[in-house]
Amino acid sequence: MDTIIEGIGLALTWQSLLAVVLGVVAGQILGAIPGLTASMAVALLIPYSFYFDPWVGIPMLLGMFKGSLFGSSVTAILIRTPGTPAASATVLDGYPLARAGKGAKAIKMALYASVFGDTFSDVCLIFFASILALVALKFGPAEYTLLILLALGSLGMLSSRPVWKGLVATLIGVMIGIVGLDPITASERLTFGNPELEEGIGLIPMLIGFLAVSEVFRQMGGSNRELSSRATRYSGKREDNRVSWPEFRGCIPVLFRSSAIGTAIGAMPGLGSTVAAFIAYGEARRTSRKPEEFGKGALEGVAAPEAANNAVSGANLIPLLAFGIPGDIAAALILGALMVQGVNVGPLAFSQNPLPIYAIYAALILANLINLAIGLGMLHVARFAFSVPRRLLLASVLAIAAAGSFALRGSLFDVQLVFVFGVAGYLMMRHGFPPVPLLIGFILMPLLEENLRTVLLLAPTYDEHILFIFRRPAFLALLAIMGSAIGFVLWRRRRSRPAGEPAPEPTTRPKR
Amino acid sequence: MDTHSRRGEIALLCGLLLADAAFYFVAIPHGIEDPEGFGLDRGLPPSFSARAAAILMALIMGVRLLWVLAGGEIAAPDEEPGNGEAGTGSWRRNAAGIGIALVFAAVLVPLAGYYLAAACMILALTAAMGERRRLHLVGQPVAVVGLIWLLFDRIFSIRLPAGILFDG
Repeated sequence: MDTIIEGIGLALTWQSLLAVVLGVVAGQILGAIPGLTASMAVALLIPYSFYFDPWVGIPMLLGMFKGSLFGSSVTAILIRTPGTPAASATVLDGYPLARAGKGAKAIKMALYASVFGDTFSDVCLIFFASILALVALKFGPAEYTLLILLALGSLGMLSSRPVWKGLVATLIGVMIGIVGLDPITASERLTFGNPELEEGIGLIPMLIGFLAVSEVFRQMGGSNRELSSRATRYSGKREDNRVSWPEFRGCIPVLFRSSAIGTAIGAMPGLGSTVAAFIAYGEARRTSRKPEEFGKGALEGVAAPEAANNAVSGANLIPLLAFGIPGDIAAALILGALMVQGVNVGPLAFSQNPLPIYAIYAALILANLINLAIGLGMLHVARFAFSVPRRLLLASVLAIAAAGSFALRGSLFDVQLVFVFGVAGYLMMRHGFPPVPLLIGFILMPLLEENLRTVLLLAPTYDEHILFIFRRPAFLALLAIMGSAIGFVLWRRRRSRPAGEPAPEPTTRPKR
Repeated sequence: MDTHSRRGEIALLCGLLLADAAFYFVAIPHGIEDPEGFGLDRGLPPSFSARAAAILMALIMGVRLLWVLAGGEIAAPDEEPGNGEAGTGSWRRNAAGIGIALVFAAVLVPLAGYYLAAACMILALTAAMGERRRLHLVGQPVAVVGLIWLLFDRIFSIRLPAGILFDG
């Protein structure tokens, strides 16, 4: 008990508190800039953290990591420009809410959901780190393949009507995801001799191009009145600028479910917060009583991805603290920072020197509270920053998009890709193809392919060949969960439609 | 669904099917080399995913084409955010905006470097979108580029492209 109190005391000094505040502020600002991801924000801050005491530097890094995830959702909601890939699912309902004058409500929901997801995963980390890490390590390529197939299946429901356009967009994303080196043979695929394509096409140029730049191109065609009006408008009604208790209460089941999804995905190395956000969004839509409102400004559609992507950040630390295995790049960077500061993590740390572990736990919870307080302030800054006339903002977004796309890989080719994808995204929108399924296909394809091909390579080493997957308890458990979930949804749909009632008629486009 | 929209969708599907065929029969054979010895029993060949995606896409679009040709009901598309605004202004302005942005990325940045190119692009785009106040036309590029320089160059030491003209 004394060790726990002493550990918490390490994270509650005024220097540590100040460091978390600075980290959260810097994270929220950097996270809002397209191209500067949470990992990059942490990487940029690491050299500065070495100048400080470990219990100033480490809380600052943790604060920055959490702050950047929320910061990225602010621009995703207000100007359809996710600061980091993790916020791309937030665009789906956040942006329609902002366009309806409810940007402040959407940002507040994103903030509450972020803090909820963060706290949920931190609590899981504190109480169940060892158990969760053990379960997560049972997951191999077969389970990953199944999980990604589930994600693709449930995300198929994201596809707007007509469904074929969503599916075609997903497959275009898959095709773009193939470009680069083959994950097994390392032979070139669709690079046509261009060395810039060998690394594959970056996610940042895809996100910025298809979401932000295409939207700028679309809005440029507006009338003079539209272009001289404010970039984001806010409703004068009080209820449109706040999240009421009934609204929040309505989102609580979604928050719990999405946080659990984010925690589970975060505990497994490799999948990451973007995948978690999309899976949680798909699940929220699938289980919603009003799925037709998704994509048009549903608060649950903001809450689900935000809770999930933030839950990943805490859960990423589960394998890190329990086994010393980082769950993603940001966790690996934090591990590096901990090691340089002389803090050891892993199974032995719990028994030999648990003090730093408890200090990290305290810093994580503290960072959540500070993220909430500063996030509410950030909302007012964002309201002011995005109130400039639209014509001024649109040109600035393009300039920032170009700089952000260059920052990650230092490639001029990425800058050019952003604008090519911007034109492609604009043309897709003109023809009714949604860009988000394309991004989902692009994000999930390499993961699916790599895991599926690994399973097929492993199969000949077993007597049962490919059927070996059915001998894996984790695979069977996952299959059972998926089957139950699908069965439940089908049962609920059947129950909610009164007997004899015909399926809803498809609406037709009004004649021009 | 009126005949015009139906024809439009048929044309779109035919165009996409042609592009898909070109991807399958031209891009994949020329862009992906399958090493010897790969097959279903030895792991999937590198071209598997590309071929599978192209075949799936052809199937989806083929079924859709048959449905439309057979006179099936066509659902109205979901409302994309902001659809109401698209096209209410001038298409020329839209084309000019895209053109300026492409020139910025393909010519100006490699040639003159990011900062000068970005300033020129912001000025040109803002003017193309109808801004006539000189203070805004000049002040905005300076402010935005200055902010980006401060953040990227000074704080994070990320060197944005200097351009052929000014490099070294």
